[in-house]
Amino acid sequence: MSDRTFIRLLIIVVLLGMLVTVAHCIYIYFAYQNSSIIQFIARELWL
Amino acid sequence: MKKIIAISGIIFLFIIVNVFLYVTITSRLANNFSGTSQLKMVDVAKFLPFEETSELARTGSSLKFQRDDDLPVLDGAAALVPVYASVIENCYPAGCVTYEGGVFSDDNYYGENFAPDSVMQYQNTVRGFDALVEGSVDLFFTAHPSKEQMQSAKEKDVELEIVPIGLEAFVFFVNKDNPVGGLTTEQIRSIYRGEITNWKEVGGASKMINPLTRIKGSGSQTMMDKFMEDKMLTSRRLLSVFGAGIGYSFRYYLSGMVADDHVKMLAVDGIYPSAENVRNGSYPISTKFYAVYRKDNQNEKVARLVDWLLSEEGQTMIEACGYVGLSDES
Repeated sequence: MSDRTFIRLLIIVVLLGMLVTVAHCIYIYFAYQNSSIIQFIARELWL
Repeated sequence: MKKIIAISGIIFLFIIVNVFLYVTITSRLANNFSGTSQLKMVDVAKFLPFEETSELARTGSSLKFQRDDDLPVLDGAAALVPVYASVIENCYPAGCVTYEGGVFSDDNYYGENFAPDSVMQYQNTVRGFDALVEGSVDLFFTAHPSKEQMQSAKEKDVELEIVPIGLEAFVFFVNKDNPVGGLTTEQIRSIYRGEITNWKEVGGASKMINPLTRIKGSGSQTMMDKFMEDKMLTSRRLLSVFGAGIGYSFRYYLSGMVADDHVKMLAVDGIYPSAENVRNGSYPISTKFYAVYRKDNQNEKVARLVDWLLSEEGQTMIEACGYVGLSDES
């Protein structure tokens, strides 16, 4: 793999990863404001 | 090879971050307005009058309306569906409730499953109260209306009669695995003012506290505003989402209707919110719930129904629904 291809691939992977993560965070932000508090606490993880 | 490992490592990193977010937060989000969540809030089909399998208090009544009477239309908060459905079961003639069996969905998030001419409606606190003010509902069962709701009625020149009909405990709850079993009222207020932020400060694990709030205008949020004397966090804090939550609700709604084994109610000032402790007045945050109607409602059966609710028969029915009647108020 040439350096040029690697850089392009790297940029694409980072951008896609950030896009998915930001979309996930935006979903969390809005869904969290209206989520059922009983369900949210009931599903809490205590390890 | 190193380049492929680098690319794979970055992909793996993003996967780890998103899986972590999913496990710790996303998988716990149940939108209050989704179909599934509404069914969990109250499956109204379980409380249909005149159905043998319905979970209603069939305590009998000397007040019996007839088919050709001008029957008052009843609506109410989710937590009070068993009460007003039981009123219909005991006092109304069969055939006056038309349940259309609609499926809860995001387009039908309050469960508009009743025909417009049905005497039983279920629009929950916010929309049901508006329907009362607009006149399509005669009698509304609820916690005390919020300041905003009262102001909204006033702006429309609607005067309301607000009649207490029973007692209920306002409760705080946590996950069943949270080692904290009780808090004082001052600790609760400090948590919801952002002054106490870690469970270890109140004898629990070293874990951030996530003080969860409800939507404005809901019965429990109105009660919480009153409890907090209007000085509390105004929205859910995003960063505390990774902590262990505390929430609030009404006793029977939480323990009798939702009945989720994964949450537990907290004792307040050392008193557990049992029906007995609400009845004897020892639980410190008891409240009344109400039947509300427009003062200008011309249907005399509305007042008769309210009188019946306050009678021994009505109070017996309220007790049989799992709430505490006013007659037992100490």
